[in-house]
Amino acid sequence: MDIERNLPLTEALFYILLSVRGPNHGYGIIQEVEKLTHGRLSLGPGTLYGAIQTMTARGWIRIYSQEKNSRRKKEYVVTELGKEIFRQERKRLEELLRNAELMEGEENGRDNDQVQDIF
Amino acid sequence: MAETMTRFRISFDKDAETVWLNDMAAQGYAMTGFFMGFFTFEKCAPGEYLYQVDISEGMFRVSGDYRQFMAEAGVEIVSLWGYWVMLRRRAEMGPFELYTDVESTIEHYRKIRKLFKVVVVIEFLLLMFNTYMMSLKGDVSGMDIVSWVVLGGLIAGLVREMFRVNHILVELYERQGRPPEGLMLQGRKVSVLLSAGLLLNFAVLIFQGSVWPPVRTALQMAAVVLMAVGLWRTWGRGGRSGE
Repeated sequence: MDIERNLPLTEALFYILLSVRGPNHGYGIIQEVEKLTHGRLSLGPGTLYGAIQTMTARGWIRIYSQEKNSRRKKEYVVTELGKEIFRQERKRLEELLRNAELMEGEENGRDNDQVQDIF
Repeated sequence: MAETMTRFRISFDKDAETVWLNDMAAQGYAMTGFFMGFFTFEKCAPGEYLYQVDISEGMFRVSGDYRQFMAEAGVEIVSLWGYWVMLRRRAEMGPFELYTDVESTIEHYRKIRKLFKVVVVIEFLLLMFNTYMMSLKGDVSGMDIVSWVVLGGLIAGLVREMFRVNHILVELYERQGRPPEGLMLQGRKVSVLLSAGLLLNFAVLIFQGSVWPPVRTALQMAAVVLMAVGLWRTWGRGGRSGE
């Protein structure tokens, strides 16, 4: 699969992948995302359900445990492919952040020549 | 005040329905059941529940996965009707929105649009069959007219709702920075063709007795062509570009 085609990740997909770095279940993912974003991002159950179905189908995450007769909740965990996608996205985000510093440079009163010297 | 209450309401607009259910819950009536347009309510503490309407994966059913998932998130499946899932959650658990980003909201409305497309086409075929049978019989009973008006009304309602959903989708695509693919323009054109076709057909049926048969047939054919072209314009091409 062409990884580039799936980037950039939506914010929801990014945080869901991150939340299943270890096995996690549906509601646990919602809570984890809220914790990571200090309550800024609260995934709706419809959004999360759809994302999990899509990512399972694409092989980015897989079912980790499912015991029919117990009350255990269905858990999901990231796959190697999912990790690779996440790494690519991280690279892209790092580039974004690096370039974002150019803006700060201007605010601090430096001119463009100096900024170019830095890099 | 009564402990339970029944209200009749027909609407294709799931967003208006959601607002209405939440209004009722705010007044102390929690929806507990639905059957063919009849909503059953039970008394609850005002504002005890928040309601949402989702579209299901299959008719009158949702997957075990979906059930488990919703249950875990504190969401109760109140009713399954056709492709609609009516859900509620206790308000104390916080705001209740099913879809919280543009991407999944687009997916949601596209599913709805797809469903309406299929239903409209089926009902349109039924209407055509109905009209054909009437023209074969030669005379039109009151019952024929009633069923024709009901079907026509349903189609008109569904088409109107499709335009509303289309409009929402165009706005969502714009927020994403994607071009709306000329959906709006196409929609407006179709609206005129379809309504013209429906009106003409209706007029022919009503004045059937007083129109010279060959003219009647010609007018009916014209109406059928108008409606068919209207349908093709919207869902033959527009549908594909939306996929």
